Amino acid sequence: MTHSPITPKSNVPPVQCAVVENQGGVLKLQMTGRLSAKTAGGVWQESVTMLQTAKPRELVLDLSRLDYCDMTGIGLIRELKAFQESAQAVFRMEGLRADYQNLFDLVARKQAAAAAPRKIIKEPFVDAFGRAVVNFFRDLYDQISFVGEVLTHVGRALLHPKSVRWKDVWVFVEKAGADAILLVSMTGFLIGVIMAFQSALPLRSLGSDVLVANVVAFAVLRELGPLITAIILAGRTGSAIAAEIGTMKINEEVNALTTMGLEPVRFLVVSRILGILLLAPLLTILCDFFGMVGGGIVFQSLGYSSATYMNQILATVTLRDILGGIVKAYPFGLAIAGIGCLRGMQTKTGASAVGEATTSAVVTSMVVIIILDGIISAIYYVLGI
Amino acid sequence: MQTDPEKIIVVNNLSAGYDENLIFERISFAVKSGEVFIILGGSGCGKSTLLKHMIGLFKPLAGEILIEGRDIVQAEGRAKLDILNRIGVMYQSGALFGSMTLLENIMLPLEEFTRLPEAARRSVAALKLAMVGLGGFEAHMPSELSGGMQKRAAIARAMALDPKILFLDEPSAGLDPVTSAELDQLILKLSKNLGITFVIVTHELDSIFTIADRVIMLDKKTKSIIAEGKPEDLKQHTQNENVRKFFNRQVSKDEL
Repeated sequence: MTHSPITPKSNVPPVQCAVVENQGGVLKLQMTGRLSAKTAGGVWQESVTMLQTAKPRELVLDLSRLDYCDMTGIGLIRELKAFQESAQAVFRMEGLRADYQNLFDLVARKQAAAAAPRKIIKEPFVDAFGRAVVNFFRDLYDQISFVGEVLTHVGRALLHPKSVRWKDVWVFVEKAGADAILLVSMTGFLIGVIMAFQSALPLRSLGSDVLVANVVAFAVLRELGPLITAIILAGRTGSAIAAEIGTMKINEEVNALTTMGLEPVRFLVVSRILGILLLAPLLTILCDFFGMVGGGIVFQSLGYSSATYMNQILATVTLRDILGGIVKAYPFGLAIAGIGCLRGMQTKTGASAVGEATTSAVVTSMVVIIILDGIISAIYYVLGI
Repeated sequence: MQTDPEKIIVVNNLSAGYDENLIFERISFAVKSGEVFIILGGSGCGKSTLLKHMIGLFKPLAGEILIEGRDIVQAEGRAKLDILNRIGVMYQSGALFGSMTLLENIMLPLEEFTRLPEAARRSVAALKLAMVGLGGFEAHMPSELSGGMQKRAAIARAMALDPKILFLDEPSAGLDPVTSAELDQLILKLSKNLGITFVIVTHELDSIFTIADRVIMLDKKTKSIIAEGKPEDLKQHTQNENVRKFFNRQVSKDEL
């Protein structure tokens, strides 16, 4: 008779599994102590390994000295039983206390009654492809009908200004505007400084660093001012819109509006779109101004006076350049607010839904802004603006 | 079309589902004017879905829902607005607008759908708040209230336009028994004094026996209504095992 105790490695109250007998294909194991979720780890590993190596014809489990056994303990006993059954060998257990025996039987009944795990049927490629195409067009349909709905409501709002909730518009402009002013001013200033420094060296090598003023003015007024403003608005305001509407959707506030007979688009979307249409051009002008100031400071550090800077700019920049830049703020703003609202309205349920809506709003806005900028540049080129 | 004036809501052969999953099939029932009508059923049997169809949020696969004789399923635009203005809804979460005070929440529908001057709107809204026991909380934001108070405020908002019918989605969900009982008393009071018809989704047995005039019970397996009547009658005389189990809070032996 051999005795080889197996003890768990942790210092929690131990359970021991000792080999009492191992001959003639009969393995007798005795478990002593508390067999619980905390203590079963070591014993589980080692007893299963022992079964795998010994492959006994008959396993006898002596449980008479078990002080305590919980569901995990029952799990271990069932595991050993299942191993023997799958090897078409005999399993016997002795001395399990009546209450644990009841637990054992209950677990056995429950497991037998459990439905077979559902087979995940892999969808044939043609079906999956068809579904994807249908979903794509459904999404597209949603977006087009949303754009149509929004344009109808904005148009109606412009025709009947009294129907607009101007208080909401003003609150939005106040909040989004105040939040963005510092960021837009600072970024605009830095863009002016960067443009001036970057253009100074190549222009100096050509002996014409006085043209730095022209480069800064053209780049900032026509392109970078509106673009940077739009990107900041997309990141700050567009995401905030999506998060706010998304949260309202999850809290059933959007449903509440609908059942009150108040169209959510008129209520939530129109005020935000009108707000951003007021805000975006103003912020663009601010960005332009600080960009020019930043460029001017660098220009002076190159040894020119501020009067030269002004002269250079006035001689080259026309009103068309300035307005051409500011006009871009309208389509950009429309895209940012529209996409923010759309993504907010499309928010599904669940904890991650608002986060997904926000991310999606920012990413889509950025892409759409760049595409719009490309289209507008091409139009300006053709029109000679 | 049903013409019985007693029946304020008539649901005929309603089938609904998400995508290809049918939730209930060809169910029909009617709600009488002035009664407290409760929709019962276990989790996932489509109680809230049925409610959302009745208030016009979802389009059913088939069937009609007549609210005071007009089909909310087919109604569009102005016609639907007319129906919506005659009902009030309290959502499970309250769904008060978080950016507005309680008073503003209740004034909103008044502002949009009545010609009351500002001062009148204020006093009407304050009156509604007082009705649900929230007088003095006018300037509070919804987030500053407890769950029970938010639900009462939501009932006040649902009553803003003095609707004939109030739909409540799980009013006692997440409330302690005392608050839940207070809410029940409020519902009874409103039903008795104002003659409002209540359609309530719940599975709180205590509430059901306290407030319900009539209940229907939906069943997930058969996708249909398995019981209809007064709760006491159903508890004592039902032949259906699922209904009996529900009322006696029983679980069958093999489920243990």
